[in-house]
Amino acid sequence: MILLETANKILYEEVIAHFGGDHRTLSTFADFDGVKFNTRSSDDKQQLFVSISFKGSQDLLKNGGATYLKAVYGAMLQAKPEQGYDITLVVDANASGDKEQLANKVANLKRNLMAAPFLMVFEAMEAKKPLPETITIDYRTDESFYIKPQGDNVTVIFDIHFKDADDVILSKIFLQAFVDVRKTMTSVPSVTFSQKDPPLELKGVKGVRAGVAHGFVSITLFPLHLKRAQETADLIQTFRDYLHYHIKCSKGYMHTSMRNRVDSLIQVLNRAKPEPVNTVKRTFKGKFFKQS
Amino acid sequence: MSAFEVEHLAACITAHAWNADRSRVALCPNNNEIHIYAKQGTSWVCEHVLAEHDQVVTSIDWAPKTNRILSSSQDRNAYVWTFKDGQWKPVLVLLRINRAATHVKWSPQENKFAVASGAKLVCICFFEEEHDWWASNHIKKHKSTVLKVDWHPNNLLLATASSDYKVRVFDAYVKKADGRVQRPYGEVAFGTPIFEFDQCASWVHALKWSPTGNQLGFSSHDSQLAVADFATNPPTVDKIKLRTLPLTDLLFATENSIVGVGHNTSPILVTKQGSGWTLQGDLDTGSGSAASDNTSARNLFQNKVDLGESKVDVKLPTVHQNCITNIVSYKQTGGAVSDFSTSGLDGNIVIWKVKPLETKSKLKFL
Amino acid sequence: MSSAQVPYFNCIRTTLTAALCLENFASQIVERHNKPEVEVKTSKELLLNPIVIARNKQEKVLIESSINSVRISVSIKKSDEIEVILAKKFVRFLVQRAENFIILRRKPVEGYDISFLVTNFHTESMFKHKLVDFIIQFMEDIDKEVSELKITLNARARIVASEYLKVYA
Repeated sequence: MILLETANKILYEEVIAHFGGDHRTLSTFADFDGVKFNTRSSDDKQQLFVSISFKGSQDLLKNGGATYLKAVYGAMLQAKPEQGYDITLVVDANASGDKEQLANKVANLKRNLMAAPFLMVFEAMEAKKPLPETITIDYRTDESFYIKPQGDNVTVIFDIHFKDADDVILSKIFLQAFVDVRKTMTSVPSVTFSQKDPPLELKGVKGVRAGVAHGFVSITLFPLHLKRAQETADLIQTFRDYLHYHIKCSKGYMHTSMRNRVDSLIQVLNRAKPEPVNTVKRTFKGKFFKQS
Repeated sequence: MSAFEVEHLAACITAHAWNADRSRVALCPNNNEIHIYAKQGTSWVCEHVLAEHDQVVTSIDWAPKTNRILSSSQDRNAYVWTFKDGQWKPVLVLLRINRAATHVKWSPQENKFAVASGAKLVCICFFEEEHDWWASNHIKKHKSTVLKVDWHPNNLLLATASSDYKVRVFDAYVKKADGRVQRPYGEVAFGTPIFEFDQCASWVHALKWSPTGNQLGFSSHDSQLAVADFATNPPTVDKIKLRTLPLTDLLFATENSIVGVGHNTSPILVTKQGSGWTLQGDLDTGSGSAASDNTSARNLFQNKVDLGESKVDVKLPTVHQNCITNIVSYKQTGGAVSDFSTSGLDGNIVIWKVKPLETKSKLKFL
Repeated sequence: MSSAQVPYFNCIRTTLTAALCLENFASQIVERHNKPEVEVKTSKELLLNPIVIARNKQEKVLIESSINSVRISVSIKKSDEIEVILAKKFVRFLVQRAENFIILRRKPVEGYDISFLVTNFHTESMFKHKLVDFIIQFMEDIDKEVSELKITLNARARIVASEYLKVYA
């Protein structure tokens, strides 16, 4: 798997299990971007409450999230979310329609939430409706993304923060690869990145962070991509996690490779040790014997 | 007839010495013990373990006439061992030093001995009848650890090799031990060097007097071998630069042939032709002793895990597998050494026979 | 090993063979102690002149010898940021396993990436020629590892980028 999935697998299985009936649940689990899910079934096992807690949800709901979720989930959306969570869906065990499709829809809760502002902008662009200059979504502590419509195009800027100094360097390789690879392909969004300083597009936007540990990736989507709104939204929202996932994988690979190398070096050093001669060994019965 | 016999008696041997009839060998297996092996039939059996020192034993010397063993250790002590009622009894020597003892040597007449030490001095020890102990006089004048000592055949002169890059010759006359004798350089004050040789550019690891005492050979860490000829006064020094690794011990096989051993794993032969000394070459020309045939299935897999190879060719082509630290004369015929033995850090004691060695290596002892 | 490195490694091999001529030498300063003289540096006459064998500014080896110990410090080629972190990671890995690498010095000498300390006790219990082999092999491997990892990292980055962008097209 090289691209990430947008649906949450655990959530999907929880919902499927709920449809199977006879199953009391109360579980909490996590997803990318510091998302916390909670599923809880009602006392009569008829209803499953799916709640999500997400730092960026307020920004997202404001920027098209509320409308979009209403459109997707309709009546399932509970007016008042559960205590400590931002959004709650109710899944009825006896719901009509394709169960798997429904479960999939629920499992995509986070995706739909994240995709909402993109979809809103894309739609507005199509319809030539007026739009705010820049939409800022603070979706993680220390990290944000910005959506900025520019003429026919939309520029999405990710501010990616790296805790580890090594990650900064690794990310540079990956991001540079995006820029390089892009040149060889047609009809793909343009990608640029800058380390430390925010790009010019963000001039005048409030609260933009800067610093060595921050990398700014600007992805400019062209009208062609805006037409395939859902697909593009899927991709663009997983960008950050995709990048991080592969940085971690390559670190893992480096570790394995170095470990093997170190092991082989130990073997080389062991060759310097002479074979012990005439070692006395104990047999199974406790007798001694001399190995010649 | 094979040119050498190998006995693997320990994992690592730092010093070895033979008794008078060569039936027993005392060796130090790189720890605080001295093991005495006796030859029984074809194999060597450990007869005694002398464990009186508490740090690694640095040197052993076995007096042939009086059958006493002298040992020194890094624990600052030296012991004289005498064989009584089937046991070796140690007597502590009053060295009065506070650093490691590095080398010991009985004088030719066995009435006194010298102990080199890390205290930058040499102890000349002699037996005091009235107190019934071994007392010592100190020869200072060294600027660093004394690594080796050797007695002149006249029982009076002592040569010392030090890590201060110098070789010195002292008159080690002790009135209590020597009585009235003719001294070669007159009434020299005790502890004053008669000669000082500064030909070496590094630590002097080895030195030996020739059988007649007319020459003194010494070698240093800069792979130099020098021979001082005492026919003239002051002595003339002939030095040769070796292309091999430094030598750690020397043996005058004859007056004109020196066998040197050291970090090179093969003994080398240096001979005097005319007036100058020249390097003849390696005596151990690579016997190509096959690697041990220890290929049980278990070993095969064990090696695969530990070494990454099923069979590792670790053996060097020479008999000794590591630095050779000692060389002593094993047998003499007609004033010349016919057999000599070497011991090394690989735990082997090798007895080399000069005659077959000459034919094998195509070198000539002079 | 590229052929350009052969003379460099040959030079190191020969120098190490000569430098590893050690003997058991008890301290002449402290009673009943036996310490690597190259570390304690208390007696000037027991130290030899340090040798630096350098291929270029970064690739170099410092060999400091004394009567009973040798300190070998290696500086690895680091041409860019990535090689710096790869080398750093590799060294950290080794130091964590210093227990197994008996001759590894836990703290490298200043200005170098990794140091070895070989004492007479090591040359007594191990074959000297194999110890030299090990150090040479080590230097070869670390170079190889760093450049291999850098290549795979770049390859991976390209694949990751093109897979992602492909979906848009």
